[in-house]
Amino acid sequence: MKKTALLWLLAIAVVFALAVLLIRPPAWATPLARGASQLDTIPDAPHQQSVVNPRALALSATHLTLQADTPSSDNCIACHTDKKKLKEVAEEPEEVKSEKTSGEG
Amino acid sequence: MPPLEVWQKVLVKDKFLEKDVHADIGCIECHGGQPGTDDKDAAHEGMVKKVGANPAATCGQCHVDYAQAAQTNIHRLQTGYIDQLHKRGGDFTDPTFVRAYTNHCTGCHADCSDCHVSRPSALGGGLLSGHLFKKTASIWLTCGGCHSARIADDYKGNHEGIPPSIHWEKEGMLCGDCHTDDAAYHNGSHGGTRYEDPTAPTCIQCHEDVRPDDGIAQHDQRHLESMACQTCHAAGQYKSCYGCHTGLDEKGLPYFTTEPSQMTFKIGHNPIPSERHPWEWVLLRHAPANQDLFAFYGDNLLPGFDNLPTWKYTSPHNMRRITPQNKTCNSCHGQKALFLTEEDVVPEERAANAPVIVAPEEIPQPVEEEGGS
Repeated sequence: MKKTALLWLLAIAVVFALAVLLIRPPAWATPLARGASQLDTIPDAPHQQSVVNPRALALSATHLTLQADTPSSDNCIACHTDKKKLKEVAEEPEEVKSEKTSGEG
Repeated sequence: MPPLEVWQKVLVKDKFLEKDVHADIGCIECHGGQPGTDDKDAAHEGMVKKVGANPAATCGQCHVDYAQAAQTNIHRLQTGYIDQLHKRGGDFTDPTFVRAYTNHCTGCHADCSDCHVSRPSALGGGLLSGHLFKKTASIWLTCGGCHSARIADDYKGNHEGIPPSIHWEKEGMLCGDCHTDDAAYHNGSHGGTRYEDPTAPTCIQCHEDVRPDDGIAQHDQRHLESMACQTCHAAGQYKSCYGCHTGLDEKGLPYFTTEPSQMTFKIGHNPIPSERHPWEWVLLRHAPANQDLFAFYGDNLLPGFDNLPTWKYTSPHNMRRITPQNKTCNSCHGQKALFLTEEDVVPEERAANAPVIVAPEEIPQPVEEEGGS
């Protein structure tokens, strides 16, 4: 009986640990989403001084440890570093400049 | 500068992935899009091309104070355009006016990424260098990509027969050597044009030894107090633009047409005297503004057009010590062609330019110079 309870406790602990490792944090908790509120909460610093906020760097460090939970960019990188593939699939965007434009802008 | 091929615009360099700290963040974290698919359309669903457009949520994660300042920066908000159009009677609460402004004027807006990652849209866009972040923007591709004909070409001496600035030719100075971080790029808005920016560079910051007793005859108190430095030291003509008209074509695409630009050199009265620009005499160039700028969209959208001159204060970047107009006293004195007189201004713009037009009797008379003539 005592052994069964221990096994149950162990199983719960394993499930909890897996949940912490595998479940992606909600969108509001991502570093990008935090960026906006961070600007509201960190007091103004004279911009002539440090331009990189230490608290922001700390957030980035946290973020880097969470990278396993963020979407993989492997597919983006595979395509955008492959010159041959890009030449095949890259398309001129729909025309956004009028042919009637003339003269120096 | 030829535009990049479409595939070149989005080619990411291995060097970026290996060495640039920004690569550690991952593509999707900044740009969005969908992971786990090789299908181009599916992968790009929800993707944000220009993440710098929202500095607070992207660059501002680390570069907090820059991102804060960027929210109101002149390059981002185009406060200069807004100021000038507002003074000409433009009503930014009128949806018709705002539509015209948005269609034709906001293309010059620049976010963080427009300077540090990408080429400006004026050069066709695309990554500057395979997504590497450039701490100091490229002066020819970035600064010069937008500020080309009137600044970069002046500075490098690209206008035929007019030499480059000595600051470039002799010293190889880059834009940021004068226009420092504190100035045009990263500070918050001062609410108007660049000439109202209290951190904008001045010649005297470096040339602090220029004063009435510095041994240069023309540097007497009267000249120094009444003339902007460029009036004597701009190496020659610079570009004036004329007659901008805007509209939408049959596909609904915005277009503009301008009349051919002209190289001009005109001294006139200072249209914006201030503590930082106290001089009576300054150089003027014609801006591509006219009463009918937005006539396609409605009548009289700039009802106060004449509130500002069309010949505006200018700071050519082709500065040299000896110039055609300062070789001798009489290279300037008595030289009517150097001054903006009524006959240089088209009749329909004379009212707007009345404050800057030089009357014949105001043109300095020739003087007797040492050694005759």
